[in-house]
Order: sequence, then C-alpha cells, then structure tokens
Amino acid sequence: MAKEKPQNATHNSSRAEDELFGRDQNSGEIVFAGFLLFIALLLLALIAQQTTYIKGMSFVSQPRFWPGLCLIGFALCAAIHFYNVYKSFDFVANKQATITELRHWVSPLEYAIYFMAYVYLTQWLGYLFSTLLFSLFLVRRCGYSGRRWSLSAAGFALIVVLFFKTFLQIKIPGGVLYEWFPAGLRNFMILYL
Amino acid sequence: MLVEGITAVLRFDVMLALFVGAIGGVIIGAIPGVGAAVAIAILLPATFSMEPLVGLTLLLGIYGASMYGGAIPAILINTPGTPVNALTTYDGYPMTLRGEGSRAISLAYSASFFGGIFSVLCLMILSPYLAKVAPLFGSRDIFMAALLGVVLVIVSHRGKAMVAGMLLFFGMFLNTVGMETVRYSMRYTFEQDWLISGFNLIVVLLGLFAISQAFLLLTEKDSVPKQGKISGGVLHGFKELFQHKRVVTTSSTFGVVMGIIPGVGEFLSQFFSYSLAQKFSKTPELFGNGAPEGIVAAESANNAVPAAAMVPLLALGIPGEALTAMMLSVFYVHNIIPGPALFSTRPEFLVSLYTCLFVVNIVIVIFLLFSTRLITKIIRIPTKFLGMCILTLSLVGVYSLRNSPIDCAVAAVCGLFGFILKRLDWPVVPVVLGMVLGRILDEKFRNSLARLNTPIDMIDRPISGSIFAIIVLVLIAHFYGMYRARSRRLVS
Repeated sequence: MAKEKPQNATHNSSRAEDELFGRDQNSGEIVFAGFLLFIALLLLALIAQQTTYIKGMSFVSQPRFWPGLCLIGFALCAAIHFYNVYKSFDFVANKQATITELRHWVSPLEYAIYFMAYVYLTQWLGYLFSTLLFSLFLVRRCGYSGRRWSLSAAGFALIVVLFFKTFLQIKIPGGVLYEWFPAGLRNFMILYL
Repeated sequence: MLVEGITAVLRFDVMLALFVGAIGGVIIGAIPGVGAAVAIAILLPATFSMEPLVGLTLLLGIYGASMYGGAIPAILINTPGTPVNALTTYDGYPMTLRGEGSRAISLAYSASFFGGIFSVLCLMILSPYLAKVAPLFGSRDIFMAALLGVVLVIVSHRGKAMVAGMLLFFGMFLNTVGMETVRYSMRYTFEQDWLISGFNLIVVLLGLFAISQAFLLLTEKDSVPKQGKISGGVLHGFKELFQHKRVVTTSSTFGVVMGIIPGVGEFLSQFFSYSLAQKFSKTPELFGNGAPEGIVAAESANNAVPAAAMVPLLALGIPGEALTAMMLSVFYVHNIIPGPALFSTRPEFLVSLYTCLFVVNIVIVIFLLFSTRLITKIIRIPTKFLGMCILTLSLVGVYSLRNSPIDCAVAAVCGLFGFILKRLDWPVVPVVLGMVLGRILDEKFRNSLARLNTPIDMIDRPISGSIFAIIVLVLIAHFYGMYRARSRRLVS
C-alpha cells in the first residue's frame, strides 16, 4: 500500500546536513534568519545605552549581565544558522519563491489590523456588539456568504459573550455606547454583556 | 490529607471544570488546526478568577483530552487533530482504508487510556519520594535543573538545534526587558512606559499560539475536513490491548520518563516508543502500513506525558514544555509557588490534582465511547471559519488581562512573529520556554551568588554536580551524533 503523507505533517529532511543544521531550503528562511541576526546584533550594540552599569558591583551581579548573556547566545545561534542557510542557499533559483513567501508573510497584517479595530470597537460599542460586528464582518471577508454563515457567525459571537462575560465574568469593561441606555438596562449590559 | 484532597475533587465547581475540560478537550483536539495550546492560551486569563484547583483541573482536562480527540481525525481522515497525533496517521489511516477504522480508533482510545492512567499512577507512587527529594533542591540545584532544561530544549530539536537555541535565547532576552528588581534599573525599555513591567508571558503566549494560528488559517486556502466513517463499536480495542502488553507498557514508561525530563515531551517519547515497537515487532514491515502496535505505541506514549510533565513543575517549579509553562502562571496568580515547599505546605492540593488527573481519563473514555460518531460530524468546520473563531476568542484572552490595547497590539505582533515561525516550520515552543526558564535561571542565579566564591561552587553540591554531569553527557552525546552524521555524509 502506498504511504500517503499526512495532510499537515511536519517537514522532515532526510539529508545529514539538514539533520545537523536544519537546511530546509524553505524560501524566505534566509531573510528571516538575517533579520533575526540583525536584531540580535542591534540589541547587543545598544546594551550600554539600554542597561545600567553599577560601579563596585561584580560583573555577574550587574543588571546588564543577564540580558547580555541572552543576547550573546541569541546572536551566536543566529549567526551560525544564517551562515548555514547562506552557504546552501541558491539565490538565483529561489528568487521568485522568496518574493512570494515574503508577500505571504505580509498577508496576515490585514487581519492584525481588523483585530486591533475589534479591540478599539470593544471600548466604544461594548463586548457584545463589537463581537457580533467583528465575527459577521470577518465571516464575510473570508468569503462565506448567505444566511447560514451569517447566523453561524452571530451564534458563535453570542455564545462567546454569554460564556465568557455572563457566565465566567471575565473583566471586559462596558462600552461607551452603554451610557446611552436606560439605567436598569445599562447596569445589566455593563455587568453581563 | 488524603480524604481532604479527594473530597475537594467532589465539589460541584471542580467536577464541572473536570467535565468541561475533558469534553471540551476531546472536541478541541479533534478539530484539526486548534489544539490544546491554542485553547489553553485563550482560557488562561479566564481561569485566574477561578480557584486554583478548578482552573488547573479545567486546563489539565483540556491538555489530556485533546490527545485522545486528536487521534480521531488522524485515523479517519489522515489529518492529526493535534501535532502530537501525527505518528498515529502512519498506521491509523491505512487501517481505515482497509475498513478497520473502528478497530484503530478503539485501539487508540484504549492505549491512550492505559498511558494516561499509568502515568497518573506513576505520579502518585513517585509523590512520596518527590516530597522527600524536592526539599533537598537548593537555588544552585534548581538553577542547574533549569539549565538542563535549556540544553534539552535545544538538543531535542533535531535538525533545528540552532533555530531552537536562537529562539530560546530570544525568549530569555524578552524576559529580561523592563525594570529589574534588584537595583530597579531599566533594561531595554527604550523610555517606553509600557515596557517597564516587561513582556507579559500570557500576552506573548496568546500571540504565538492562538493569534498566529488564526492568521495561518485565515490566510491559507479554505478547506473542510472530510467526514470519516466508522462502523461497529469502539470497545473491543480494550480487549485487543492485552495482546500488546509489552508495547503498551514500554511506550507508557517512555512517556513517563520523557515527560519528566524538561524540554523533551511527547514527540520524542512517541518517536522512541514507535521505533522500539517496530524493532521488536514480529511484523515490522507492517509499521507505516496499518500496524495496530504502531497506534498503541504512539498513543500510549503521548498520553503518558501530561501527568509526568507535572513532576518537574510541581517538584521544582520548572515547566518541561509549553502547556505546563502556561499552567505555571495559574499557580503564580494564586500565590501557590510550585517547588520543593509545595509538598509540605499544600499536600492536600497535590492529592486533589492527582485525583483530578485520574478521573479525567475515565470521563474522557466514557465520553468517547458514546460520542465518537457525533464528533466525526461536528469537527467538519471550514478552516477560515475556524480562524475567525480563534481570532475572536483571542480578544478574550488578551484584553481581559489588563484591559490594555497595548497588550493586544503586542499579542498581534507576536502573532505575526509566530505566523512566520510556523510558515518556516520553526518551533514556537523555545520562545515560551526561554521566557519561563530564563526567569528561573536569573532568579536562582542571583540567589546563589551569595554562596559563590568561585564558579566551581555552583556544582560542588551533590545534586547540582550530578545535574551538571548530565548536561555534559547530553552535550557530548549531541556533538558525537553530529560528528557521526557528518562522517556518514562524507563517506556517502
């Protein structure tokens, strides 16, 4: 029987070099490895500015000792990994694939913006209305149209609010909108929805 | 103490948490693309308002149950519900293809049950010894144990050791950001007020696990998992398990041992168990083509880990993997400090925890015996819709912590970071373990300084010296493995 690969099985390279250094040839890996190396070196360069040196205190007790140690480890591992990826990376053959991968990395930014909009809407509209609005909008944005999907999204939003805010009483403050409601309803909305 | 501990479990709120955790965990585990880490990260802040036993029972229920549930899609549709069920697809799916789906599922349940119960019993048996040994650990010993965890996290990521090291040190660095508590000086705050308190572990966790997963599901092509079909009952596997006594016992033992060692966890335990089962099998050629022993080895090994992973957490306060790292924050929020003193100060709490772990396995199996068919229907949620659900739920986790939009922005950035890590197939866990182990290392190192005249003093205690020797051995074994692999490559 032919072995079928699991749908989201993790990648396992068989090459000894890959085993040693993780050369997955994943397009974009060199960019991210380089980016992390740059961050590590930048943070290390800023250590004198961003940490304090206390005179008379031993080297290992200095406030900068521990972040310095972590950053040296970070930079060292990043440099070794970058070197290994660089050594085996074919720039010409992987140029287009790398650009495509970089584009893919930017794609969730859109959803990150929606998420932050949801956070700000919660302060204005309250948890119930913002959650309803967010899930209905997102379900549309994902391409699900029709009554069934809208109802599913609205139902999900309602269950989330009822479970977390009403039942578990998690701390999410009432929205500014609630101030416009009559006193009795306002208190109920602030406390439970 | 024993009666007090068991009585606490019978309370309504604890039982409710136990049932919700067990049933919720099975469903979450069975939905490909969610997993226990995402669910626990989202629920974590909600558990802070609960009593510690209630909160931990809920989280432990989800942790243990997700692996049971994850076997269902792994066997029926060749898609592991959680990453740890990936090995189950190797033999489970071929068995489904030849019409033995219910047998495979039944074997997975029974092996998981054995692994789960076996590890809880081991934890109970080990407990009196842990209570004696744990107080012997001083600051230097705990420092060395955490250092061993760091080394194991790096070397256990075979083929990605440098990546794991880089991310682990990055996580350790993140933990140092903010005001340090000895001289109250600022470290890498860039004169930003919101950085003074540093990076909150839960915010980072939610970003790395939940939001990144939502981004992944929302940006990739939409798909609906197929509906797996099973015919016949799922009880007979419990009888068949007796035919694989050796495999199930060995694999569960591997799970317990690997679970106790920080930084190793489910993947290595099931890998070793599976390899060993294949090596000693009368029909090794069947492995990967529908060998019942393969399912038994993988499932019993990974289900033995959750209870065993509690050992370093409870005894030393050192989490071995991401999920116990998350649970550590529940302990801290309620001012229960896991570590050597816990055995003498809160023994009844530990008894309750063990009892919950035991009962949760029984609840899961009973639930699964009656609901497997139903679960195969309800797990068919399209991936983008699932992404929407996770992103909506993420707000609960982050915003309810401190009602801070900045926390949400940090979580979103961590989500983007985690998204890239997942795209590159780089591990996310080292960042989290780096943050947790980094704090322990920093704290214990500072505590040890007063007793140190020379660096050798760090390892002159029997425990710290022994752990140091283990670290050296692990490193020698790792570099020897690298050397052998390179030699083989040069020869070929």
